[in-house]
Amino acid sequence: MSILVDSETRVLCQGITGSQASFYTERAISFGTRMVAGVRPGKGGSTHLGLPVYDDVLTARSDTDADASVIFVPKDRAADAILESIDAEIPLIICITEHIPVLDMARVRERLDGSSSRLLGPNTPGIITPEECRIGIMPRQIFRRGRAGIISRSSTLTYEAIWQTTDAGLGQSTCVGIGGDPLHGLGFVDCLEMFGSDPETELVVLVGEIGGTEEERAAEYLDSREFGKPVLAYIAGEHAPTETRMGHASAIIQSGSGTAATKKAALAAAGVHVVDSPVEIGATAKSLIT
Amino acid sequence: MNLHEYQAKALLRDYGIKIPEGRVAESPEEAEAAAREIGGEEWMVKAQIPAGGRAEGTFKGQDLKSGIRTVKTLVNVGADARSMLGRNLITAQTGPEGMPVERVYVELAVKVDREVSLSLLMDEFNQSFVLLVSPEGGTGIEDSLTHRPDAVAAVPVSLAQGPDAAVLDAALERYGFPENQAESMRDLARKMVALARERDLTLLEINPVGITDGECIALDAKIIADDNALYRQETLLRMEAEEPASGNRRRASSDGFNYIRMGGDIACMTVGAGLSMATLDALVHFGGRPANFLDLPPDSKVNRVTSALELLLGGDGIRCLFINVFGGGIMRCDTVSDAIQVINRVRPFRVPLVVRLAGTNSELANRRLREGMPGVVLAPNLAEGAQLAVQLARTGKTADPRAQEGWLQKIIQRVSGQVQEGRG
Repeated sequence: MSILVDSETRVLCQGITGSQASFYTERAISFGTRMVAGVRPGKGGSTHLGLPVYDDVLTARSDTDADASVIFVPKDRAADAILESIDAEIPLIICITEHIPVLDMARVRERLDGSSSRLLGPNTPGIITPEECRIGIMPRQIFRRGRAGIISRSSTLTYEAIWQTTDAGLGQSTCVGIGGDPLHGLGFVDCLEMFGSDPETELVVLVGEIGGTEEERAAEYLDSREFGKPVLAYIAGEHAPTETRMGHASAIIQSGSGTAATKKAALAAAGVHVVDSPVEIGATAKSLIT
Repeated sequence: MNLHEYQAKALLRDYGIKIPEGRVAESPEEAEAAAREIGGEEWMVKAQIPAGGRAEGTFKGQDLKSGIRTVKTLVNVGADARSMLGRNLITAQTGPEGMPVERVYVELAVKVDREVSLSLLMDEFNQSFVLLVSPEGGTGIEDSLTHRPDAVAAVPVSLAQGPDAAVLDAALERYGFPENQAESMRDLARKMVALARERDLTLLEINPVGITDGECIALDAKIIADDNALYRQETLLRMEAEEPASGNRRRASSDGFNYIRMGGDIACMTVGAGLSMATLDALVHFGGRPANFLDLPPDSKVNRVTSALELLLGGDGIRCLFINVFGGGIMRCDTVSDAIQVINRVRPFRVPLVVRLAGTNSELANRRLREGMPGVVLAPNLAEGAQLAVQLARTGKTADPRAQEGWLQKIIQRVSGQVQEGRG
């Protein structure tokens, strides 16, 4: 078992003819991901990387039964690409594009609520269920199928956490990057819920960072129930210079939240094993389930 | 992008929001002329920096208090402008160096019956926008939220439809706004939402809003525009261009990367904000003192990495350079190793260099460094890399392992024999 994606997941790629999209689609195919189609307005009817290309998501979906879409569309059109997939009722949308304007994402959020789609990202490195399905831009060969569920906000730090759980011999059930943008789709709580009911996942590693409110929400969620599995968290940025925290707007709304200290305290109070340093992720994770 | 008050007010005026009559001035003479043109008997002289807390601010190296002053004569408008221009204003939001004042805003002092505040901002917790209404103006909204949450009402906002009418009405009633004032506040709130939506603003704070005879006037305004949307905002791009090259840097990255000095002795270079922060945490965890925060974007090419390295090596008191990169996405480790070798050819490293490369193309990159630059310490993981950097900074030895003795020699031999992580 795993969450969100497995060997049955049928994936289409929006913006497939771009160089990044082509590069990562080829890698996904060689990994064994079931890539079934590409979408590129104006290129419908052609073939790219051996996949049929469609003008729009709806036709691609009805022709190929795709149940996930990965988006590599430039930032000025990415929000519209997400909306197109929501309209086509794609169950899982993964938006790799970064630097999407916040107001565009506010528009996406308003449409996402009540829809039948789940969104990962934007600005996510993607999602991997080792040996089954790889969607996105995470590096190869740092994965190993196993027992830890990984949820992270930052791309490069996700790789670090994944590598440490591989190095510690634990491996991963599924690794999810929720993306670093302030307005986004699935959050820590959604992923915790799914990992909580996934029998293969024996512990969850949460990789958070300063700013935003994902960690506080996760703490609230874990505090209010018997989660039943150990959760380990590392929050990046305790020793970051204060200037890196733009934080004004987001810190205002949830006063007292947003710093590494408050996030760590909230998670610890909810029974999470919080490590102070990123170098302790692997060994601590191992000690929690062996 | 943080706007200056004068820029924020120009946007407000464009959207039909009333502001006091005002002019921008770059010299004392211009300031005095501006006040004369505006007319009246009392003016505000306001230092223009893109940060808040100006009224309580102080000028660097001076006894002068406050970047916002009320002045009653034309001569004093010029004198106060002279005392602000060209100096650094330090406020709670600027850091210890403050920000240079290159313009003042001269504005008619307006008497109002009541001061309140309205702030429209992104609410990450609810993943939407929210309008904060407070019956108190002038004080920091952050302060009110922390100490007196009763003094702030949060109104949900749909960018398409505006503020939630029922919640807004309830807040206005709770804070005792008579109907003529309430109507003016509702109108102001609607205009604020339209402005934020059409100009891609993530924060629009009018504080205080002055109210006289049921009419609202924006006495001060703070605006943060979304950097990611500047490509489609010509007005904002023009405002950004108004900033002199030597002046305040309002965008986080101008050279294509985010660099902040921290004063320690271990220079650090990483790709990605998350791993950059983690690298600092790891160094501090082992007792080190990072010299900087530097986050290179993943699409960096060799030339950007070399300019980042040159910037780092130019810092004072650097005793070690720690490079920690996890290749992935479009960042490949050989980009980093190539940049290191380019720099080394031009200007050989004079401080010890600890390099940890993992992920995409790390094997290739590590081999190139091992063969091309035997003096570089290659670390197999973050823990060892951070420890080595801390120890090297402490002992101050050279980077060349042939010159090393004892424990360091052993560690280096051990780690360079097992660099195999994350084969790309």
